Amino acid sequence: MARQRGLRAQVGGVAVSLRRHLARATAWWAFRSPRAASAHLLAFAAAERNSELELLAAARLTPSDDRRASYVRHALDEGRHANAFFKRAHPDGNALFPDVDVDDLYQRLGERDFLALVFVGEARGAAQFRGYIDALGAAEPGRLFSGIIVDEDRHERDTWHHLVQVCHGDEARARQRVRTMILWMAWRRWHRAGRTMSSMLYAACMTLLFVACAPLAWWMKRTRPEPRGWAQP
Amino acid sequence: MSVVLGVSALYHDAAVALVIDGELRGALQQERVSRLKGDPRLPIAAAHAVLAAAHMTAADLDAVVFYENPFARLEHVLVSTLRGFPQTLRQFPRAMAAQLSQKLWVKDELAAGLGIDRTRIHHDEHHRSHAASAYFASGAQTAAVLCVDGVGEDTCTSVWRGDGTSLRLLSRQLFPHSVGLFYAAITAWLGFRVLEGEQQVMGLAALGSPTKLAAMERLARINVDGSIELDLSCFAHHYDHTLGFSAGFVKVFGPPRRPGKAWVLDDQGVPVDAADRHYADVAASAQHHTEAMLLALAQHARSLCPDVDTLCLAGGVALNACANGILSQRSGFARVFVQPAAGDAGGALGAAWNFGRSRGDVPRPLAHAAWGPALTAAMMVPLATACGLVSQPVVPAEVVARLWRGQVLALVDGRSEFGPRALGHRSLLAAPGPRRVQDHINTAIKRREPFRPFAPAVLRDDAAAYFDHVTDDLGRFMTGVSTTKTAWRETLGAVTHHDGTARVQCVDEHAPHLHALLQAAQAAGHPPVLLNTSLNGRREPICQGAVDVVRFLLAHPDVNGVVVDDVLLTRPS
Ligand SMILES: [Fe+2]
Ligand SMILES: [Fe+2]
Ligand SMILES: [Fe+2]
Repeated sequence: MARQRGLRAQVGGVAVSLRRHLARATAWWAFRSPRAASAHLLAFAAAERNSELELLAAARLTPSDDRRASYVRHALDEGRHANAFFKRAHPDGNALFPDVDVDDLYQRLGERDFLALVFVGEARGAAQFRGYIDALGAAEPGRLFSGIIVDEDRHERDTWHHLVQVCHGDEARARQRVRTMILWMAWRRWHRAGRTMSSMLYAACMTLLFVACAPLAWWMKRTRPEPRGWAQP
Repeated sequence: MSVVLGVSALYHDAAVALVIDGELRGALQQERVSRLKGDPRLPIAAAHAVLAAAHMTAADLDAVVFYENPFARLEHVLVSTLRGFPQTLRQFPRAMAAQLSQKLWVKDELAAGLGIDRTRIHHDEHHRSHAASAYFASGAQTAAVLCVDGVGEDTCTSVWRGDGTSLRLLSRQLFPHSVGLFYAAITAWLGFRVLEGEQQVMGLAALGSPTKLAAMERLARINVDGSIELDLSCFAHHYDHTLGFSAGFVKVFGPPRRPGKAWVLDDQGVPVDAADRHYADVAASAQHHTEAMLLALAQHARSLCPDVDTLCLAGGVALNACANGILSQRSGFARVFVQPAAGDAGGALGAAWNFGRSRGDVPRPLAHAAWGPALTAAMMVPLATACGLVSQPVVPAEVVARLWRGQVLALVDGRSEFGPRALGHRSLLAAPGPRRVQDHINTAIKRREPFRPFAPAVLRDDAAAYFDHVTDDLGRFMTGVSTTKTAWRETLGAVTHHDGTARVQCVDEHAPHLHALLQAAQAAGHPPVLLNTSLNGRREPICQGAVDVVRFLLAHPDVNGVVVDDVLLTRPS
């Protein structure tokens, strides 16, 4: 455990501890009402499921039998976490699991950077959960986070072990990849924000364009009305 | 002579099909590799998997054929949104973004993704791809072909005539009067996911009575010529496809059901909640009316091809096994055939066959559905052992004994199935009765609605002893519904739906392990029938490779083991 903390301090330690403070400070807002808590937990459920799918892809693609088995076990944990968050978000079971996407991270980054990214994700996730436990105490959903954090710490250790393994035992190289992936994640966040902004701008422009098409629409309705019945070729 | 890769993608259930000299060599849905249910993304990973299984690379392909015309689709989107002005205001930016950012450039993306020259990428037409996938798979010399889906380019329904290797369009019905989108609206209103929940609607329908038939007939009128006309005031697909149904629909049938709300049934399978009984009645009415619409469409096809005795069906609506069963009995055609991947995934196969025909290839009929990459015990055991599972040799008699002791076992046999049905290659098996087996698998393993039925797999030669109205054309790929004989309904309680129907699979040597298990069941004095459902958990695609199967077993403690070749994998006791 001491080694674990030492590792975190070396590798993106500031970002990780900042995240814990941030989670502690914002917990009241994230869990201000049952509805808000449910939305927040659903987002966690989706993130866990996404991570499960990325790990299963890694399990299929890795050349190492040892890591394949490890990825499968890790994916099973993430799947369990996803279900636990979902159940806590909707204890009555009256909801659909949110839609989940995959980013094909293993295919895009290769195994070494994939592992570095997973390592950062695990450390950040655990820090965020710790922040919530600090704020929420033993009451639910604090207890749920406490249960999950045990797994996340193990994932962090295992992932570091595999990362060093694919860096041929070179810990300095592994740390360097982790730092690069922290930058990559920041870049990705920036890129996504930019995409959201541009898609809003695009939607506004297209809506204006469509309004300007009113005469064309009128002409279309007259010349190509809605077809009925059988059309012969 | 050509090596062609057919591709369907970007709407729902992307897939590839590799056809060499008219013969299907491999086919796979993208969801099986990406693990995202119904994954519509360009199936590059699936393409590489299929090519690798055939010991080929993309460089060996003469052509890659996309299953629809991207330019015709763009025209349809433009025309329909302008026609719907100003109601389509919200839809227009979204629809144009989808078209302009990816769909229009699909051929370039395929070339880049597969790393081959753009000149080798071609496109077909959506319904022509569907029609080919149905007709050439059937092996019929002449047939009427009916394609019914949501919409492909601008077509919702089309009728074709197949003669030898030619396929001719006879008539079609255009957007927005679509049987598929009618059913999608019902699906959305019942709180199920569109393109996934249609099977749930069909299962629910058996619990209700068709008391709302008159309203359904007003909603989707059947004209004397067999064409369909929707009352568009009740639908929303013509101005916003994300809505599914309109306020007009709610005025007729009441508020929609809350998505995900649990279903509670009594011992007789009747919903406990009065509101749920209403939803079941609407589902029954919609299913009943869909069958009536399909009968009318089949009659229209018959009037255009009076000399033909075979009807082939494709399109998403052809996955409606209950309707297929009705068509088989009442459409007047001697043969009704539905191939296993009747939905958009099958379009990949049709597109590849169509291109091959243009080069003089003769498409060969489908004898079975196992076209995915193979999985063997040798590929599975190392991972299973590393994950703490125990492997031991097993013989069919032992598997049968375990099943009749109440165990639920997964069966993995070689190449995976193409299409949504597990036919003994990636299956989950149990004894066919009593009914509580069904409840156990639905709630503990599949975690789905308690009314979802399970299908029986039966030895082909013995099917008629246990089920009525079984035909080889629908039984081979489990694409139609039959009726369990009254005397067997108790014994086969877990595979007989509440209304006495059963979606039978007739098993022959093409699924060798399942066939051997059924023979072993018979030898042990049981009926040669097993409960057979797909090897997947809730909202997951069917398992494909070793990782998927091992994960499935570890994630589902109510599944007792996996049988692969002559090996049984179990959790340590
Ligand atoms: Fe997790
Ligand atoms: Fe984790
Ligand atoms: Fe289609």
